[in-house]
Amino acid sequence: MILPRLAYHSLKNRKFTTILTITSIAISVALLLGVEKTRLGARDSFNNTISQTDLIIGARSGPIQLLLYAVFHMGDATNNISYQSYLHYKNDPRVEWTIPYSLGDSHRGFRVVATSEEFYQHYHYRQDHGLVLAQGKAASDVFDVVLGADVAKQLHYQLGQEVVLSHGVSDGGGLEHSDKPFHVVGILDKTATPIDRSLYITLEGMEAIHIDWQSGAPPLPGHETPVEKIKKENIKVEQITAFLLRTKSRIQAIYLEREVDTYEGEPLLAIIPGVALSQLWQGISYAEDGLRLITVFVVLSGFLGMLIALYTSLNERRREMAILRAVGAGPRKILFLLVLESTFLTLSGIITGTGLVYLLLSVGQPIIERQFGLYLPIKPLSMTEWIYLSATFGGGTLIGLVPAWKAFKNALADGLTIRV
Amino acid sequence: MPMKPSHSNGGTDPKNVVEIRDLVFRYGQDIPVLDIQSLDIKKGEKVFIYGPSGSGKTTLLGLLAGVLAAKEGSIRLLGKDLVKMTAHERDEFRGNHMGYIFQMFNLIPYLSVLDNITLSCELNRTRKGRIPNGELKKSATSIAQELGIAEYLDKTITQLSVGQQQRVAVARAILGSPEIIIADEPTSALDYDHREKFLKLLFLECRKTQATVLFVSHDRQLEPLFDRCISLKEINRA
Repeated sequence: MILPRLAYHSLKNRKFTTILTITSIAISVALLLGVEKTRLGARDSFNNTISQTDLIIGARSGPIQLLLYAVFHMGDATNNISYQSYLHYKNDPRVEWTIPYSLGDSHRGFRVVATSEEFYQHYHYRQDHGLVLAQGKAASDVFDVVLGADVAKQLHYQLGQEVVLSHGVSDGGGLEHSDKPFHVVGILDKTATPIDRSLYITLEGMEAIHIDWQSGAPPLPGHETPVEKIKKENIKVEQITAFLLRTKSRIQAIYLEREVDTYEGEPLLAIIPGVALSQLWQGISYAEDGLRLITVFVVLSGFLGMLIALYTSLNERRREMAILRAVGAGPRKILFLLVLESTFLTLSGIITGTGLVYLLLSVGQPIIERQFGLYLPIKPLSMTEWIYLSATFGGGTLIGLVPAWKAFKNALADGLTIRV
Repeated sequence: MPMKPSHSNGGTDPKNVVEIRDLVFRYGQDIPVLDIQSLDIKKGEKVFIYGPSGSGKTTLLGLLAGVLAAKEGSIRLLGKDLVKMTAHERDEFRGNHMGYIFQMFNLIPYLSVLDNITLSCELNRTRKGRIPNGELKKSATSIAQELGIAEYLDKTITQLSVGQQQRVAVARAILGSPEIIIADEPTSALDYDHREKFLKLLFLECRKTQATVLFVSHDRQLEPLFDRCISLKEINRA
């Protein structure tokens, strides 16, 4: 095994260019893997925005629209559904739990979600992460509000703070429910999902702020029902916007989905969140391909660096090659030596680059999650990543054939005497 | 110089280590640069080949070492005809049966002195096989001791003087006891005193392994130290 040793010592002898070459390959590999891991992380984060929910049910509209308003709290529902329909499914023996949502109001650009205590108990994201109250308690009284982590942070709200909700979802300038202010009773922990960007009140709270409204218009000044007179027991929830549903066994979700779609009480739509999420993702994931294309070019430029480093070294190594030939190394062994060198460089680059990705990931994971709401799991290399690395390895070895072939020709032409 | 024309039709004498017959070599389709009717060198002989520049010295060395391929005639080394071998076989033959010493820059710059000495054996299994298993380093060390370079074995070659480097080259050339030592002006970088000392060491080592020495030079000063002198100009008819 003298040739690998020769290759190793030869590279070691050119320490500076060797380190530079390995670094440039390592950086391109790190970028390649980093982009892939970010892509997967983004997709996973996206697909795991909501978990443990089997069906999302709302008024009949498009599945993406339902997904957008129910999960991402974006856009508007065309219609509400009756509380009656909600109770129908809530009390179905196959159903484990439901989370009702009533949407439509906002506070300084953040959506207000009216829900029940089931939300705090059952809502899950990223497989098994439940909601945790960083401070305070869940909203239970009519004028209680719980803040998502981003809301609290951006608006610098504390527990006990008075919050006035706006009618509709425009940022300011709309009609304000200033007659019925809410009080912050809790702040949720960061989830890196849309949950962080909303405020949560009770269903009764939502009814209460609209109690005197008539056909979409606020009550005339002086005609508001005073806050003291509003009691939770007296409020009857008539409508909600959508609800999340968990069945006792997954197989029933499919039957239930069909049942909901043909529900006779009113036109409803049920979607399976995972399916709808990946549909939505596919629609917005074209940017991935562009990103991947760029990384391929970065890897190529890393190889180009190696090609230059090896190729330019060949001329000053002709003496060395002549000595190797004199002690019996044929041109084929010279070729093999150079291939070994490029293989060694590529492999070192790949290992360093992969190590770099995991190092950065372990250091940067919490920072990335905090800053970008992007959770990048530290997982072993996926099949795709192995394929990328193998392709990089193959490419590096292949490109290494260029200087190797040149060395082979040199060795044949020079023999033992170097004509320079 | 008369060459024993009686052997001119290819009969092999087992005492001959080198036997060249009707060798004609040309680069491409050009006129021949080398045309030797006959050249015999016996086992253990120390031969001085005098070759001024332009006499075909480089070509002859290339052919003997098997780096150049001749198409006409025969070059029998140890009874095997290089002309009939493939390039790969010639490389192997050179590695296993020849020690080659260059004029200068004999050593791989990134290997230690010891690794440079053992390189010839590491690259050639047959040659390594002549040394008892596991004793490669020991043999190299004892040769280095005889050549006075034992203390440099772990050094890098840049720490050696030219004379020391040439002695390392001798150590590499004779390790594994190849039958033929080819030296291409190995003393030209040394001053006269060192040349003689160098040659004596070379001969001493070669006597131990009964190697045949082909010493090529354009400087006739050293000629008296050899058993025989061949003038390339006289035997080359091209």
